[in-house]
Amino acid sequence: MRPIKLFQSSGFRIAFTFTLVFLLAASIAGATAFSIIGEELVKRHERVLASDYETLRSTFLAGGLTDLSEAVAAHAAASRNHESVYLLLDPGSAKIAGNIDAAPSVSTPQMVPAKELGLNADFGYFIQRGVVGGNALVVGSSAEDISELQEIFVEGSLWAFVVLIAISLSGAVFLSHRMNRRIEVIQNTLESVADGKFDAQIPATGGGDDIDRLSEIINSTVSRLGTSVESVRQISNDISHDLKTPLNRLRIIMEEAFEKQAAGEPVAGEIEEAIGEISRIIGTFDALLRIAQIESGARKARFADVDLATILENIAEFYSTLVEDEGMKLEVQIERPLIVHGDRELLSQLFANLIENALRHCPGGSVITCSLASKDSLAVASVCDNGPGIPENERDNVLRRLYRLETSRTTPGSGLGLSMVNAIADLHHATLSLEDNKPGLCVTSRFPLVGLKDL
Amino acid sequence: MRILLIEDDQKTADYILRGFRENGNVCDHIENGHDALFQASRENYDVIIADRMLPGLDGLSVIKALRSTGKKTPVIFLTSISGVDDRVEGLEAGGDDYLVKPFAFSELAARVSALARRPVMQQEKTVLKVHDLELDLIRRRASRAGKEIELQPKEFLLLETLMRNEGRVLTRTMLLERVWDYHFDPQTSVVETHISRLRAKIDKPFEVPLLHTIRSTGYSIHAPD
Repeated sequence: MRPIKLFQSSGFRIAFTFTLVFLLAASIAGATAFSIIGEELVKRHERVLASDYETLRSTFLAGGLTDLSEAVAAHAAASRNHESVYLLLDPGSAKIAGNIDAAPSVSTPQMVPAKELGLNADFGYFIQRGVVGGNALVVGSSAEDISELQEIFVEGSLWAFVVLIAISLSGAVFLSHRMNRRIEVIQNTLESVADGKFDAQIPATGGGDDIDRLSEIINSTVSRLGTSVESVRQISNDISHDLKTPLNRLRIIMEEAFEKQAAGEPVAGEIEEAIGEISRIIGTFDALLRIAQIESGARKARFADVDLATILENIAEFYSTLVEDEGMKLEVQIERPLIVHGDRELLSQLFANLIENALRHCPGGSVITCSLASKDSLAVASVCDNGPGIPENERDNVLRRLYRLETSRTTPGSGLGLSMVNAIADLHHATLSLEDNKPGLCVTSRFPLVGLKDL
Repeated sequence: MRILLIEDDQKTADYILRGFRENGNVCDHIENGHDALFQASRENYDVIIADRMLPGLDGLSVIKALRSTGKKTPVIFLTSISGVDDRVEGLEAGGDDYLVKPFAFSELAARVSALARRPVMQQEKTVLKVHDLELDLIRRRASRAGKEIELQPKEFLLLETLMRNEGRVLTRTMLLERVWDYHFDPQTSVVETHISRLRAKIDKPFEVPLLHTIRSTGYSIHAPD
């Protein structure tokens, strides 16, 4: 058994792909949340700045530059650690009041690095700058909260990602192991099938998942394959066995002819006997080929809607004279018309084989009954007799090719008649059953009916 | 009769050729499809006997090609392909009859002679006559020496088939095909029983027998020699 590598396992691949997709989705969601929160914080800063700026400007409008400079100084003093920054410059750009010494000139409120304000910090400041009575007024607030938020967010996300990857990877490994175990079971089973053990079956886990369904299909395929391999083996055995007997007889006939000829006696009788023997062998081959061809299903292309009643009636009429000559009686009970989808020739042969079978195995005085009726949208066709019948434990066997009951070894026939009936019934999706007619045999075939359209 | 035999197996060909030549027929033998097509379209034969499996062009294609040139020479296919569909394929390709190997020469001879004179047979006759036996196809009536004979529909068709081929042998399988349209081989003497029923009606009450059994071949109806 070749071990399955982790990355080649479909379970792992699925889990791994899923992890990647999940991480991508989480990143997009995080980034969106992050940008929305960031924007909200910026807006808040802007609002605070605008209101600070307005407060200071109104002091100027009320009390002039002196009040403004005092207010700026008071605000600046109230601000610890440069949380907020203030600067008032006179028209000559000299500092009047404030807790910073310089400020870039910006036309709209925006973020500037701390360095530009002469401060030493690794975060930026939102500043707003305006002109009040010819003097430049700058207010600003630290964006440290935004930076902190960024840091927390990044760090949190990183940890979350690490945990997520760890969990999904171990999940993937677990899944792939579980899957691999089941696949290994399937592999092992199929390898034993390849070794000819057609009874090997994949045990079901009972979960009913896709692998279980696949296993069920494999199981039924293997068992059907086993059946057909077994039947092919059986057939070749039967054929070789069945042909050995007439070939051996043929050999004996020829040897006898040889001796007779050496003794100067006529050999015409032996030759005729040999030809008869050969004809029987050929007949067996022809029937086998015909069965194989019927089973191949190629004949289906020529199917048409045919009236089973007419077919059975014609065959019954065809055999009526022979049945009478054999001292038997043929009874026909036909309901009509019963249309089935099929092949007239093959269906005729089906009934012919059944009647010939009855003729061959029944003693004089027997009654053969051909009946046809519709029941539950099926055409039920029976050929019954009151002859010796077939023991129940032999009924499946007689459908096998070349199988003959011990009791009928000596009667003529190839042992293929019922196999052909079975093959023809199969081709027509008909079910064939052999029943006890008490006494006698009743062979019933049930054909799916075509709707009685156009009639 | 001029016969063209298209057959690649020498043994089979010799067997067929000897049989037909002994009966006074002229036979040409070709072993491959291409030459056969050339020969068949150039000459006028009464019957062509064609094997289906041939080197080069197969028998089915030879006959298809021959038919496309407008040649109507009757063709009988001879083949070891005995499948249920192969007969239909052969007939669809333009064959007139079909015989599966191995076969008895008498069967082939009967079929060939039936094919060769088919055009005559197809002439519209409304009353068939053999000696004093008459079959009126319009009135569906049979009579012998003026005495009416009651026939079942199949018996009528059987007699009609035999009388249309007066003097020629019809084999069991030919009768099966032509009267009942069955192409399988019954393992019983069912055809024989129909013949004996017919014989009981048309021959038994009369002095001269007309319906003859040709041993190990088939049946023939003809007037006494």
